[in-house]
Amino acid sequence: RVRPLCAPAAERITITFVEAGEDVVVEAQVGKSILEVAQENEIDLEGACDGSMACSTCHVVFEQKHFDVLPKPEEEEEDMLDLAFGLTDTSRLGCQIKVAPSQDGMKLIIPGSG
Amino acid sequence: DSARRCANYTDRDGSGHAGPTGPAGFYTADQLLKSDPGVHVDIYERLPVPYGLVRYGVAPDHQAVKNVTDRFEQIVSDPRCSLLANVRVGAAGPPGDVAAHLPFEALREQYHAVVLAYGADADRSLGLSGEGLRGVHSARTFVEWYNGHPHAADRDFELGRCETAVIIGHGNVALDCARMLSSTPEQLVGDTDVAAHAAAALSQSAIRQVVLLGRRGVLHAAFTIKELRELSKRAGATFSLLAPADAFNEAVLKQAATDRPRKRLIELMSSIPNEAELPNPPPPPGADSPRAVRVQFQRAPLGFVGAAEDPGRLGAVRVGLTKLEGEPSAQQRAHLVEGSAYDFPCGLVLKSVGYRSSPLEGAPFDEVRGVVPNRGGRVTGAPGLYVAGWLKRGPTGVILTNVNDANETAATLIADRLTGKLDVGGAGADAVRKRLAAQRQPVLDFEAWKRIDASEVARGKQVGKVREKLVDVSEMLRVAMGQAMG
Ligand SMILES: Cc1cc2nc3c(=O)[nH]c(=O)nc-3n(C[C@H](O)[C@H](O)[C@H](O)COP(=O)(O)OP(=O)(O)OC[C@H]3O[C@@H](n4cnc5c(N)ncnc54)[C@H](O)[C@@H]3O)c2cc1C
Ligand code: FES
Repeated sequence: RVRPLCAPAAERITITFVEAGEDVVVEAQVGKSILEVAQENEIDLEGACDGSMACSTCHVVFEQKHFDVLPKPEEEEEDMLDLAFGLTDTSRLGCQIKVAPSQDGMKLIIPGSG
Repeated sequence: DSARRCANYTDRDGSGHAGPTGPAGFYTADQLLKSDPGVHVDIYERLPVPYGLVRYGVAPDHQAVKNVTDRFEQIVSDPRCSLLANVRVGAAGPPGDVAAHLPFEALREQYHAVVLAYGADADRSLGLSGEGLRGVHSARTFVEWYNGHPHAADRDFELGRCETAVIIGHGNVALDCARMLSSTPEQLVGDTDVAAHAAAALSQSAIRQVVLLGRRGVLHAAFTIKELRELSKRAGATFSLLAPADAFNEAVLKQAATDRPRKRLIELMSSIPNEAELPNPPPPPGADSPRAVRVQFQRAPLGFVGAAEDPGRLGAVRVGLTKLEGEPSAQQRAHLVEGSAYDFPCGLVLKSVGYRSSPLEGAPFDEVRGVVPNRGGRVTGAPGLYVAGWLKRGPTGVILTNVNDANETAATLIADRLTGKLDVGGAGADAVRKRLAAQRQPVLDFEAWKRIDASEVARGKQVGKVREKLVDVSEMLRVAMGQAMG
């Protein structure tokens, strides 16, 4: 079958989740949310409200350099982060962050998992 | 009248672990199933329907929070996990109870392990005079009523009788109640599953102002920023705060700055109109006034006063001003200012000062702390018995808090299993099922819940809501068993 021209093969990068102190390396499709990537790869990231910013169970901690270039969080996300367990200065909600090509090789810590 | 659930578990050749169907029960089950392929989990629930406070606590206009039930569905769909709903564990129910009954010992001797996660279904009391007056209720009952809990469906809060309601407490449950009490009729349809009886009563309500009293100051409020912001932005109601003029002084701000969530909450609070600084305090409400929600700090309830025309009915709450002692901090205590008491007229009081767990007949319980005594989830002095959720830590925290908590309990249980501590008992879930089958009351599985669920969603569609809950247990049973409505 011929792939339609308008849909190029999805770009994939590599992300490492640090889960309970252990590195889990996964392939991530650019444009998907961190939460989606985690769930596809059976990483223990809850995502209890399905990305509607009503839970904070998708909380992840970024490395500073990747954090710095992320789009700024909406007030709603900040409010939800205030409830997150183990909040840090580089915390974000995984359901709100889309995978970008520049994140190849980045490490994300899942707080509270070990 | 209490609902509780418990969980237990068995061994590789398959008996079970029974857990209740709130977040704690489901998350424990999830972790057990994930960590050990030999584990089978049976979940016992006292009501015909699962999900605990996600269904009967979380506010009907917070549907996104309820998405978590999708996860619970996944967990219970595991072939090694079964739901046994409509089974009351512990003491027998009142006459006419439609739930099957399983004494705790009968459950325990059949499983290798039992996890208690039956939550908190009672109230902390204030211990004030006049708490028995008509018109004084617990917020828990009000929450159960608007959420369609079968035990509270026939309550009457007499919302047509008065213009002012007072809520005692400054937590998220208090804010939920304030939001519901100040709802316009348009806010009671659409993306909500508020019970039909509550929507009807709230649309007709005469209440025009809701006052939330808190004994301590702006640094001590237990509600969270998302919930406060939601109320402050809400259409159809005005929102104000009443705090002493120096409530946001430099020392307070400095203390708040040490903690990001507290800092942001204080910033939001100080941006809300403060009645103490308004030239004219709000006039008493009238039938035509817009609804007003007023959060008041450093005001302690001292007692409830009967109405002049009907002394058995609430007429006012007696309030005293307080002063905070010492440097601003989370531990600061409030002291009454002598001679400051006044009576604030109101016809409805909701006490929102916390939930409390009740003991399960036959199981250990710490009456003072209101929890099952445990270390890391292992119940003290009771091999093979575990605890999770509100029953383990006390009734605080959001759904998320139960994830880490359940993981700890599951890890403790698995560790005990791997070291052979659970190689006793456990004749098997079959024995329990036989015993239950001998009773007249039906035991409902997950398929039965899906029938109730489908029926509720279909009814909701007809009235423009996401769900119209069944509130009568006999009706739930009929629908669950696929019988035509009588
Ligand atoms: C009013 C209110 C609003 C809330 N809103 C939010 C919110 O918006 N977001 C959020 O994150 N958290 C919210 N929470 C907190 C959240 O609901 C709790 O953290 C969580 O439900 C506690 O889980 P649990 O499993 O310990 O108890 P529960 O959810 O109470 O589950 C206990 C279960 O045990 C069953 N049971 C009881 N007795 C028996 C028995 N004898 N036999 C068998 N079964 C029994 C009960 O029927 C119930 O299903 C709210 C809480 C309340 C009270
Ligand atoms: S999944 Fe709930 S906030 Fe991200």
